[in-house]
Amino acid sequence: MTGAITGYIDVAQLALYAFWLFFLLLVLYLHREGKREGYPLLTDAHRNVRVVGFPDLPDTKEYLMPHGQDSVMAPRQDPAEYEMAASPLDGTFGSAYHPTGDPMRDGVGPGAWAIRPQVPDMTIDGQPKIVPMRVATDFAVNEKDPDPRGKAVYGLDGEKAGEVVDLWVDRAEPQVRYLEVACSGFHAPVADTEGYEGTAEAGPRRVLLPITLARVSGKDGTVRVRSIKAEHFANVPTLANPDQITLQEEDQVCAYYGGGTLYATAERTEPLI
Amino acid sequence: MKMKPNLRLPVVGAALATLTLAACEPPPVDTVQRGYRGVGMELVINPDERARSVAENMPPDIIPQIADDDGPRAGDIYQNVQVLGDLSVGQFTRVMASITEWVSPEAGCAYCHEGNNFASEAPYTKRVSRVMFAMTQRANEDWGSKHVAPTGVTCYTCHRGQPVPEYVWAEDPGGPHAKGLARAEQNIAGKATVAYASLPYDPLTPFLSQDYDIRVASDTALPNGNRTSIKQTEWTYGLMMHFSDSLNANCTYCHNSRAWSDWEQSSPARLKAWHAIRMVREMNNAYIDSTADWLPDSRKGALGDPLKVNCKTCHQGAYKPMYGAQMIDQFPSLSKKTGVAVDMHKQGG
Repeated sequence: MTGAITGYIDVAQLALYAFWLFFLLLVLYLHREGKREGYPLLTDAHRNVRVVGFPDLPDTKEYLMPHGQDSVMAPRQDPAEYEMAASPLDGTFGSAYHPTGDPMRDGVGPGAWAIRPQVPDMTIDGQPKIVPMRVATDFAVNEKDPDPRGKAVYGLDGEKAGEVVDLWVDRAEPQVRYLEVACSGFHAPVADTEGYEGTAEAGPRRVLLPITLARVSGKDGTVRVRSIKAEHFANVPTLANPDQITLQEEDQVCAYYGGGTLYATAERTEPLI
Repeated sequence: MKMKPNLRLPVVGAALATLTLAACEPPPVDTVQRGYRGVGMELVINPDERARSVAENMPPDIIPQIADDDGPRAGDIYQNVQVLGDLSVGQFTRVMASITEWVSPEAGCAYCHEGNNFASEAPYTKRVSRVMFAMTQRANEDWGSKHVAPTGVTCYTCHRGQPVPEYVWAEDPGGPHAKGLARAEQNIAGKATVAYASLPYDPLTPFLSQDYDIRVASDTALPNGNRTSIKQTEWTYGLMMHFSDSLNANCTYCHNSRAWSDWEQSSPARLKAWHAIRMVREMNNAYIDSTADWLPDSRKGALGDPLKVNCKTCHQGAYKPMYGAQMIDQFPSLSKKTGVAVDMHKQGG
């Protein structure tokens, strides 16, 4: 018979075994690639072992960054994390952590952020990629879309937090990335600003609102935010340079709103039933 | 005002949905389990459609058998009785009255007889009728246990009160085509013969008139000399679509589709169908073809072959013709070969 090798073994059988062998090697390769970040794992502090699982980490790969930036290695020794204002609920292994300070401002849980470079992302020309439209003057809002500029921004409590004063656009892939909100309208005092950059004073200040966390009304262009209350706009991290945003600042701004999804109201931390 | 697009969209959407989603059936449906649980061999039946089909496939009223069997035989009294000569005159008359109701209720006796000369051979319809008597007797006697028993077949099974049965077929010449191009004999949408698939649209000629091999699957896992082509497989699929459509049943009525060719996994209905294929071939070749010289052109297809029998001719969308209505017991004269019918069978092979 065609394809028979012995009375039992045939070509289809061998082809299937060959595929399985290839598939096993593919899975192992993909698992190694999956360990270019986050490894070795953290484990009990007293166990002095390197936890990498199987297969082991891949060889280091170097990413050559454009515009004179440092190369990035993967996997690499990650920079030291910022100190987290949280402590374990109890001493058991796997216990959740509980925020010890103001969870909205301490970067814990959904408000946590990563250590990222303090440089803006670049276009291929080497310009800052995400900039306000007052800088990227060749951008305009599509005439069929509502223009939120000059329109009110409301927090999850329905209170007015401020007004949109500008749109931050992506010069590489044209689209709105952030809304710039002037928070001059609210009077929430900031009680404790010690050690927290950019929140030294209440009053007129401009913060960024990620477009993915804003709901722009198609009727009148007003903006609603569900992740934080109006008063929380007082503490949104601000930028070192008002005309550009660094990768680190992007992460911190977004994480602040992310923190609100769990900490903005007391009920959000509680179970449903 | 910016309200306009908001109003237009749902209206257009509803219109599109109405236009494009027209072929829907409302739940619930009836299901019939045909295989072991979990195997997925199930028939799905629309109860409304089934009720309509049952109403359309009602058996006719039957003239009761009050005529006694005594007295002289029809063959002795009448001049030209070649098949039903053993009947008493009363029974013979009853059969004649029944066949009139079954085949030509409007034209009456004159459909097959010439004026007052009942013995005359002149009308072609009488000669054809005699062949049809022979065919009916042959089907009931010799194909009975294989396919048609216990319900049997009568004239009404195909004719349903019409001189030309509604579901007959002739070789399909295909649509028009340019002179330099050959027909593909497939890839035509909208051919009812293959249930509107684009499969080869005339699987009846090779399989129900001629006897091309329907089997395509190999008996062995490894290639071992099975030269059957994909094309042949498509022709078989086309034929199976005709079977399925004729009985209004899906493939799992006969098959376990994980192994079409495996008889062990098939239902007993497949065995009935196997015999039916041979029976229909015989009907077309030994009986209907022998009437071809007598038939007028209006009883022939575009290629000159007489209108023939396929599954739908008798079944007409029911898994058993007239949903298994029992008729033949009332007509013993149609269930056994008599007179020249015996010879016709021998000549037909």
